[in-house]
Amino acid sequence: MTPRPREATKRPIDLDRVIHEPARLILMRNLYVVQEADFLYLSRRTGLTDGNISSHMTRLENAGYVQVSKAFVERRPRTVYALTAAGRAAFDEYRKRVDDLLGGLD
Amino acid sequence: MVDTDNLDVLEQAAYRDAYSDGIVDLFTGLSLLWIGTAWIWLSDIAGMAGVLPAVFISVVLTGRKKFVEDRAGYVKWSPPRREWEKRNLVLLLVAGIAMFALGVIAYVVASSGSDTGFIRSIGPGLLAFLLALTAAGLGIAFGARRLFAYAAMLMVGGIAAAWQDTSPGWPLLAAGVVVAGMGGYMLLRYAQANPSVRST
Repeated sequence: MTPRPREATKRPIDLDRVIHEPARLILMRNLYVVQEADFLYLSRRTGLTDGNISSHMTRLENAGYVQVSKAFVERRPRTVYALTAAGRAAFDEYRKRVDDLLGGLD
Repeated sequence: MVDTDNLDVLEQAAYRDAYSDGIVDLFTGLSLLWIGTAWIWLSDIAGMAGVLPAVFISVVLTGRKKFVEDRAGYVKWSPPRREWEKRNLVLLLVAGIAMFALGVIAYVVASSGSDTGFIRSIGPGLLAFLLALTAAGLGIAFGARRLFAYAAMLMVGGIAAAWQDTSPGWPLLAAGVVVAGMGGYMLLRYAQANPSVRST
C-alpha cells in the first residue's frame, strides 16, 4: 500500500481565497503601498483590463477589504479605492501565512 | 502582467514613475535658459529674471498635476511617504535660503572690495555653483540620479565661466538647453506611454 503524502493527512492550506487570486493579489499589493488610488492609476500600474478591475474590486469590496468612493472631479466621474483596516489586516495575515508556508530551506 | 517586486520596490517604483513626466525638468530648463539669456543679453533686467519662473511655478505645478492625473491616474501616497516628502521640502527650503544667503554674502563681499580676490575670481561661476549644489541636494533628497548629472554640468559650466571670466549667464544657458531637452524628451516618452483618457 502506497503511503499517503504527509501533507494530505493534515488540514488543507488555509490561505485567504479572496486575496489569493492573482489579479486580486496584485490589486491588493498596489493598494497596500498607498493610501488611496483611482481606477485609472490601478489600471496603469497593474495592466489589468477595466472589466477585470471592476469585477475583482467588487469582490474585494464585498469581502470588506476595499472601500470605494465615487466623486466628480471637473465634471468627470472618479472612482477611488482604499484598503480598509480589515483589508490591511487580512493582507498582513496573508503575507505571514505565505511566509510560513514558503519560507525556510535557504 | 509582470508584478514580481517586493512591496518596498513596488512603492518606490510607483513613486518614481509618478514623477517621470519631465514637466518640472522642462520648466527648470526653460527658466535657466531665460535667466541665462537675460544675464547675457538683457543686463538691465538680469537681477529680476528669476521673478518670472517664480511667478509661473505654481501655474506649472497645477497644470502638471492635471496632466499626470489625466494620464496615470490619481494616487494619494501613504502617510510615511507624505511625511518623507514634507521633511524633504522643508530641507529644500532651508537649503534654498542658505544658497540665497551665500550668494548675497558673496556679492556683498565682492562689491565691498574686501575679499582676497577668491570670490571675485569665482564670481562668474558662483550662480552655477549654487544651483549645482541645489541640484545635488535635490538629487540626494529625492533619489533622482539625473539631478546629479545636472549638478555636474552646472559645476563644469561654472568652472568654465570662472576660468574664462565670462558672463554668469553662459553656464545657465548651457545647462538650460540640456535640462529643457531632457525634460522635453521625458515628457514625450511619458505622453506616449500614458495617453490621456480623454483621447481614448
